[in-house]
Amino acid sequence: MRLDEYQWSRNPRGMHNTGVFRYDLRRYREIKAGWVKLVAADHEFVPNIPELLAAGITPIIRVYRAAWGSRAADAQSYADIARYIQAGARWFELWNEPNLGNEWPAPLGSALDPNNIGVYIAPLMDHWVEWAERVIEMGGYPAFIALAESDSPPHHTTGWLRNMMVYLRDVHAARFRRILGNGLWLATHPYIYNHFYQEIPGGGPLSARPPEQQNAAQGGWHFEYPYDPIGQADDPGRTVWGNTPRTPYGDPNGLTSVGHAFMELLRDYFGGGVVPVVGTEGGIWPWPGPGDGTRVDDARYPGVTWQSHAEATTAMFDWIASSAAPPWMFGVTLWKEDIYWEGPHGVAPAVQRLASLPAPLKEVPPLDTGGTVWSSPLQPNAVATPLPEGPGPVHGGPDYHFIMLAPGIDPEWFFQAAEQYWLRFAPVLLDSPALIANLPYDKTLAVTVIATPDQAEAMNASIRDRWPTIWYDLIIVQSAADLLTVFNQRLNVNRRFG
Amino acid sequence: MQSFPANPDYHFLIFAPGLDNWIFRAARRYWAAYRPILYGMRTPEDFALVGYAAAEGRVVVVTLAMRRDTAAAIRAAAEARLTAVTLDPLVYDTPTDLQITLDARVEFNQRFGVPQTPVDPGIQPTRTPGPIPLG
Repeated sequence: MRLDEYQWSRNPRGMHNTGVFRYDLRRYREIKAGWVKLVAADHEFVPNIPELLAAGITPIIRVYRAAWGSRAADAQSYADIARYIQAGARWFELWNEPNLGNEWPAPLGSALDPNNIGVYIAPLMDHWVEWAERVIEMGGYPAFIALAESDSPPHHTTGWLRNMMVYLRDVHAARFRRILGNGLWLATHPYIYNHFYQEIPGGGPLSARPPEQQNAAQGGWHFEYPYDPIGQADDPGRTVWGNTPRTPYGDPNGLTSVGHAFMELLRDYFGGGVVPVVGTEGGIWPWPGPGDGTRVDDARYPGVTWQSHAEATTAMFDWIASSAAPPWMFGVTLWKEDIYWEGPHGVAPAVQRLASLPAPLKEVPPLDTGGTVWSSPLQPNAVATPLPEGPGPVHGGPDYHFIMLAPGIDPEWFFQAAEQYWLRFAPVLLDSPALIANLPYDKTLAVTVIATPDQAEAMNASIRDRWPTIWYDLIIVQSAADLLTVFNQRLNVNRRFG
Repeated sequence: MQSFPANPDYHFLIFAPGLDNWIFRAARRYWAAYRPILYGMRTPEDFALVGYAAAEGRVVVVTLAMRRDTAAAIRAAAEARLTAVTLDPLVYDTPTDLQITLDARVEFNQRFGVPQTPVDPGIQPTRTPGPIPLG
């Protein structure tokens, strides 16, 4: 399966509903949402699925089971999922934050230990594998279980995640690889505090605007914590796994951190691949009330105010849709509906700000999820994705990276703007897509296209649509200065594609 | 004088390993004029992309920029791997000298440093009968 084959709105904005039986389409439309997470007691939202899909909103259903711990999915939950799938839903969760004690029945919740494999990890993963297989057989996409973000044992996210994946590798490798190749996605809970910032224009990557000067309509945002320039300058080499003396239990507290950890484990234990990541709870949280001044949870970064929360939340979704974000980051459903519309201070400013700007759409490259083709008596006709002409799907990083200038782009723009990028990433420069057809299927390719706004549609048709297996990376600019800005942003975060 | 195909299917401009810093200085004008496929080699054997281009009888010319100290080894590697490709080797010790050469090619409209073989126009002029044989 490929990353671009998952069915969803391509719009990363999302909202988590208030609770079971609570649903308000008007609100989801107001913020131009592309996702809604519906915690469901049973099948109460089945009648709403068609209208959500018609509105361009992709539902994520979590069949709610309190303190479910590691128990197996019950028959009723399977019956409910089948009804949701029949109505058009695809994305499903069941277990929730097993690294927190309140998600386990007593007395297990008070003795959490991710290293106690037999008690915690093994039954959880055994039951998850069985559930994921059945969700796929019914036609859905099963979520890998969302963990709470924690850097403190015994809750530490990285310890739980690694042990869950090691167990899958050691006990269920073949079954997991089938799930990986047929609809797996990762649910995360990125409550990101103030781990983001917006550069001061001309101030460089370490500059940060104070919250009252932040503006969602302007560029320079960083949501790549802990890999952003400020974080790396403060604690060089820090990763989601930690890797520094100050982070002995990792640092999973960022919008994409746990996604990075999961993809690295897929690579290390299952040979690579990438799957969609959706934050099914989270957002910029917590944030203060209108009279509470600035809230600063991490003093290395600017704080958050009642008003700046709206700018940053809007910018966060735009960032997810941009090439600065990992291609597998599909969105966040904000925690949660009643807080945004019924809080003690009224409707949160983020609602109005999101309503005032068009929703972004994410371009998803055709990256290979890895895994294997499904073989099941219920799907006797399952076949591998047909091999198209030209290079194969990108698995990890591409073998080749072409930079192509759209017809009419002045080469001087490139030669003025791209030297440092070229020296860092060593791509291949050309001005025609003809060579793509000559690459064999066992090679992979990314193509960065530099185009003006009026050329974008034609380039999409001639490159992205013509060659669905390449990693398509479109840069839209109107001047050499624009192009220099784009390349400098990529260099600042050391990302070939953003 | 070496001859070059007038209209190759692909024309590569490749810089030997270690010459990435030369590319933006030396190749700017030449690339704008002829739009070759341009890259810097990562290893002395980095010709796989050329090989894909040259498969199935396609006509390929490789303009290969090298420094004197490594030219022999790289050219040998190229000739061993690219038997059906026309090589256009350029050996210089500074990016300035290479730039002068490439810019001169643009100036004189000589993509490969020699006068281009005229393209067959496809239609021969009609000979006028007369007392002088046209030969």
